[in-house]
Amino acid sequence: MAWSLRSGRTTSGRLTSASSGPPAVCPLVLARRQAIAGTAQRLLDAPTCSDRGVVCHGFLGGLFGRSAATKTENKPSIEDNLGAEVDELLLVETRQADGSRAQIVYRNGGPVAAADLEKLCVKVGWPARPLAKVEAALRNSFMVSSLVLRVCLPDPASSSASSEAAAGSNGNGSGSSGGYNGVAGLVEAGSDAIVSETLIGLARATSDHAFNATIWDVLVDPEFQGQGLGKALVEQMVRSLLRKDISNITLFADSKVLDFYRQMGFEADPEGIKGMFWYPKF
Amino acid sequence: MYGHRVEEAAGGILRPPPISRADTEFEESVGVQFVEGREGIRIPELNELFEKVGFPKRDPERLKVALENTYHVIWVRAAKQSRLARQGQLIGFARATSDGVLSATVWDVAVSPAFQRSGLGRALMERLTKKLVEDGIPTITLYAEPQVVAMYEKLGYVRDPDGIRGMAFQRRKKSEKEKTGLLTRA
Repeated sequence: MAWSLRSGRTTSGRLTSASSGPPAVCPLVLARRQAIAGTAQRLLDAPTCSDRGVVCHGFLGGLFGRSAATKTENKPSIEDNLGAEVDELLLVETRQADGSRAQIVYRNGGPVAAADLEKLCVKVGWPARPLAKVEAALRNSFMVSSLVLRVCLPDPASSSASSEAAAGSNGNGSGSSGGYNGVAGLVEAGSDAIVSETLIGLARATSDHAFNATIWDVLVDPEFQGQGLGKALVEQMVRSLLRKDISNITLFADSKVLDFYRQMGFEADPEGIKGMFWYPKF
Repeated sequence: MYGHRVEEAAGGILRPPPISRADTEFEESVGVQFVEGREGIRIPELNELFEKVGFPKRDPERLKVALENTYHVIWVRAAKQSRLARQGQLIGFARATSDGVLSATVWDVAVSPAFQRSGLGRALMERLTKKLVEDGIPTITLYAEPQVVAMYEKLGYVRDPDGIRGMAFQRRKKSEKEKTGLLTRA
């Protein structure tokens, strides 16, 4: 699904909406993590479910308040909990029987290769744009946020130690009551060897670095849709922009995705203000 | 199919708007000059203009940052002393943020009320849009208050093409003066 107006319509900027495939990762809620810089924390005290030998950690539905359950005046806002500025946020982690782990990570400001973005565009049905232009657009964007699928293999020397740490924090029994507060975990690099990193989602924003920001090119790999990753991506990006004191965050949305943005706190045509495009008829 | 018609109509490139009145004509009849780029803009004067047209007054330091990170600025200054303005006074302004290649958004279009019937708003927008089109930026956008939508339509802007809507994140904590900070007025 493409959640936003795609910029750069010279090669036809049509909006597409791919159907969502089955969830690739078991959705659960991540435990709250203390944002202590430099402290690698295991996520194993998060609620887990064992399914086909896969231990699944956390997911996002509850992270920012489930919209369905909270259609009230006091609906929580993204603004309520901006959190600390982080470069990376672990959204989902699954562990395979062989000890390898797959993580989906929100990354703010990391380098994104234009070719990877365009591969993703083709996957969601957007025709590829000239790479040089995409590269320049990424470079000149105020903020580039991405979703990265990371596969890690355990380092044999350290795996026992980390299991212990995990057992220890499980044993603390903070357990479920304290664990559902809806803040994703800091990414813990650990000593595991990163085998691969794949771009599976992206959003970027142009801005004057002070008052306004406009979000473009919101997309998630169709293989990973249906898990709330698009929502997490945009919400984290909005948080990052608000943290930088950008008070006016805008975007252009196709009619199919208006509700997607509404539930996050965006409003169409606020105070009657109309989105307009240069589209001369002469 | 947003985008297709544009390519077909324009042969793959967007057309810049025609400049309906030349700079020289404005200088002779209205006594004003167009200036490209932020050089020479005095922040307090810009804030004064914003206040006159009903924009919220901006923090000067942040306004400076915003101008430095604006892709293109165009403004109007009084060419000579008159009963309406002192010489060199900033009387019109428009700017666009952009990534320089794929998309651009126009903000803060303002013309001093004393000059509002001289076609300066249109002239600013023609020049700014022309610059963005000529730089090869295919998606040029803006957010317009209801009362200026018609003016932008006359220029060649289209609202909600193919149902695409402008959206803004609604801050709960925003103060009243921030409320209309995003508008383009002319």
